[in-house]
Amino acid sequence: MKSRRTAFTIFVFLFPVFIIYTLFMIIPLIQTFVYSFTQWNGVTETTFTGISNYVKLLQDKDYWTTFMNTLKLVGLSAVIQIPVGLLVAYLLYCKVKGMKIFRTIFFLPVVIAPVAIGLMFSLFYNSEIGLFNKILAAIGLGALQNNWLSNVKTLLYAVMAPQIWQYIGLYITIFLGALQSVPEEIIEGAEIDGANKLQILHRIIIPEIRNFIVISLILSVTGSLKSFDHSWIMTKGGPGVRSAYLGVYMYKTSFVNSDFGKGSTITVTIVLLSLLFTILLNIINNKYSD
Amino acid sequence: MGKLKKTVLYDGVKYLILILGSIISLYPFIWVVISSLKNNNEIYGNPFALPQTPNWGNYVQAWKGAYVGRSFVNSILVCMTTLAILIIITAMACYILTRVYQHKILKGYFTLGIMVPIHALLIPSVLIFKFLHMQDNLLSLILIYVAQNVSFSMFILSGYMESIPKELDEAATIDGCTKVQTFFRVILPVAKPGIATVATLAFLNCWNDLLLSLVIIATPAKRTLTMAISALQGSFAANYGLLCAGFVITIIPVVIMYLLFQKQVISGMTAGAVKG
Amino acid sequence: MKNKTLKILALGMSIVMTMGLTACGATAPSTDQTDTSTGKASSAAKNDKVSIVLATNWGEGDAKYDYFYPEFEKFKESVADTIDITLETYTTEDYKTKIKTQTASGSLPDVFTYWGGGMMADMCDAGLLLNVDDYFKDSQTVKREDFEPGSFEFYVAGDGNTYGIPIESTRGILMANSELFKKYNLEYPKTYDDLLACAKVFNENGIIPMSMGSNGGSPSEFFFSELYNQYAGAEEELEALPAGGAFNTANAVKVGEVIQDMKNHQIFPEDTVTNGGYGPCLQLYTDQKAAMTYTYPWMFESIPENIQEMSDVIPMPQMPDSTVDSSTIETGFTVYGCLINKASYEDPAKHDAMVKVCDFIASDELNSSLVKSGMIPCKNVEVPYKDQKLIMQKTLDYSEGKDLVQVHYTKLPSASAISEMESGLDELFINAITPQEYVDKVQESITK
Repeated sequence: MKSRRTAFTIFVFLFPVFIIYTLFMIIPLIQTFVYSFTQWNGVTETTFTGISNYVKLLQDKDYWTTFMNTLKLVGLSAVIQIPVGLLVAYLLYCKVKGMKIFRTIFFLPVVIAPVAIGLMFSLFYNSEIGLFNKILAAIGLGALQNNWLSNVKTLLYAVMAPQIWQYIGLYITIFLGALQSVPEEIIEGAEIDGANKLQILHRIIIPEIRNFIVISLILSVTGSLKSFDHSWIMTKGGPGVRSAYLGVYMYKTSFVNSDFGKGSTITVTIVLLSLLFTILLNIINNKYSD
Repeated sequence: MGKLKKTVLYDGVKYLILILGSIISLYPFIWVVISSLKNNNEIYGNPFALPQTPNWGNYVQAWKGAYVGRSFVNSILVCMTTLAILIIITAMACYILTRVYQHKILKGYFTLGIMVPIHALLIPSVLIFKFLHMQDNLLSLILIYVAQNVSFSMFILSGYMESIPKELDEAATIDGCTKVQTFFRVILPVAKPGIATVATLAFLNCWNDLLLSLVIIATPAKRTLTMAISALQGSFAANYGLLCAGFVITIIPVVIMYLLFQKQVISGMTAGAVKG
Repeated sequence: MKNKTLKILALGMSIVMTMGLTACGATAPSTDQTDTSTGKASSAAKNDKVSIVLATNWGEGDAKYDYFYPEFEKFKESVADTIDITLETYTTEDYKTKIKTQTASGSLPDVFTYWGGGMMADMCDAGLLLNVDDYFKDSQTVKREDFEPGSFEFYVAGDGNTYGIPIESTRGILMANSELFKKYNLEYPKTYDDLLACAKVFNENGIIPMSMGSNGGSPSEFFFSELYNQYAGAEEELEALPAGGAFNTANAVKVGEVIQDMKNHQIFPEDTVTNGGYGPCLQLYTDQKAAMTYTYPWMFESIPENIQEMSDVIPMPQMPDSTVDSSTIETGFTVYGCLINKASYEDPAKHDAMVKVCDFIASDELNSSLVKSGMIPCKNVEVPYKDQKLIMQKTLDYSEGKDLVQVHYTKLPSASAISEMESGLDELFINAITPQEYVDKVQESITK
């Protein structure tokens, strides 16, 4: 009797999320998967072409350029956002006056629409009127002035920068929350033992908040893999595909060039890549926790 | 003496970094506000300067020109409904999957979507809504936003719920609560901070989304705020002052919401660490 | 307990899956275009109104919005008893996306403005568009003869039929700021050497000689075509493009080389990406930071009156080794028009309403109104010369007696070739690829 009721509860509780998620997330995903084996220009009938999209994609130079761009973004985001986020959170944690104000300020960019951020930065980078070069000149680094978006060497990084910058606040907030959850006695104990701030951070705090670091890494990596807005708004992924990520390339292929088959194939590779990263992170995490 | 000096130095560096960081975080925002009161020539001419005479007309034009009033209501409506549905259904599922019926495959299934870029779903979701005769419908937008946010919400929320001590459930059962009662009376209130986190992140996702609303919504009256603002961008014109005014209008409600709920957000971020 | 739960779960989920798969199967692009995306079909049936969806990129922020929208309101009002019109407007890039998704999902608008040539090729092939001669036959007020005969060319598909009502024609112009030239004692450049000499003086004084950038191929793609037409044989090469002619001609490489040479002589702004796009590109000129710019009438709305006064329309300097006198030619082509959804048009319930909406789009009233925004109409409408913007008057004066030449944009066979040309130009402008690599890239996408 009771178990049947429990079973019913389980069903009722799981059903809504299951149906919405399946209908509007998984089925579209399956459809995308199916399209990846077809040729479809969005207008005429679809034709099944087997794995030829995948074969072509592997030989596509532009695909590999965007693939590498994406990996660079994933790497740079993780390497910059997580440590900077942790460091700033730690500074804030160490009894700072106006901590709440700083916290609020740091989170502010996170809430601004990426479309707005992208447009803002393309103005900042402009060679004729841009803020960025003027600021560099003002602080005596005039030699570093550059045509940020017209220089093959700086282009990609100039497009990455606003995105990486924008979301640091998110990690600061996450880590600050994490730090505040660490029992103070542990830290006080270490201080009495004569450990300095860096040692405390390294030996005590990081292991304590390891779970948060993993969550942050996952957020950072998946965020990077999905990125689209900044690149699309600032340069449309161009010139060529020099500042495009996989998401941008996929969008361009599908909606600009009307090649939905190939676009879907790119999507499938993005999903696979994310899957790989997530598994990797989990393995690393499990190893450390043992 | 030496130690004191060191502390002063340390504090100095600390505040220097924090203030510098604040400037980097805040300046672009201030710049947008200043620019929103300028015309194009002033923005191009001297991007640092304050406007000679504040051009409030940009705000009037941004508000009128893009149905801002109406799309604002639409955005609020869509985001709030999305949040309400999302939170209740994911919380229910997380409760089951973490405390009553642990099922690895289902859990994996639900977190699969965390890595799917939304553009992947544009065409298929349009096809599905056409099939359901729900094109150009705000409800469609709500449904797809909920689906989009299920994965990461479950990811965060189940992490949080796992940290809630099992003794709570046991105590509730002893008191004669059914599973449903336990959920609504015991677990849901305790999980509030986790929910706050999910709500914040999901709200930002919905509020800032452009692509999905673009392909699903067709009529101007049903536009969301980001669509309206992006419409300001103009086909061939680059009226940055007007754009900035539009940005400010869209940003303000999010900032207000953040300021109002930041306590919950912060505690939500903290909560997962409580050792279960 | 576990077993039972699983059973129930499995049952529920299999139901969902089945539902989902049905949805999956039924969502293949259907040819049923009658279902408009308004979702108001039922209410329309109740009060005998026909629902029509009209889509355009003349939305808020577009130069034409202020001229289009009042006319649209008037029209909507006048037919309110019988037609329920839904207007969908987006900015250009979003608009392309929107139309593509709607095409793919089989819910194309009933009447919509769109580009012809390669941009509409897929829709033509799929038989989604109406041969506009069918419409001209039915219309009481609009005839094919009302339009400039050559303006239909952009909308003629491979089968020889016309699939669009041309609306906007255009002329590419090189504008020069007379006061800046006077200030530095310079003559307008006639040859490439003149141009280099001017550029030197302007650069020494912190003025950009010519504002030209490339962001998503704008405005550089038309600039490229303008230069291209100065070379012998260019006209024929362009004419051959739609039917599979080559893009990778010796002339194309030559123009690419000239552009890179101009870039290396600092004739353009240093940063051609952020200063690319029509708005930013023109802005440098209207701010008098650049002495010349190459632009199109749809930007005229953004040129302040004092700048219009001091601007002259001048011939493009003669490029090295070119043989066609640049002062005798000008790019002039149909850039925009209106397409009709065939299925809706042939739906008896909608037919009359469709004709009315098309009549509105092609009406003298709307076209004359749009002309005031800085548009050269494809339709023969009389708009008093003095009612037009000063810069438009100068453009029309300049165009007198010029041979109109075509651009690659209207001649390339597919949307993907166009986008390859656009993004390739961005790369060419920042010296990321050689002219040869550029033309090969575009050629490859045509061949594919």
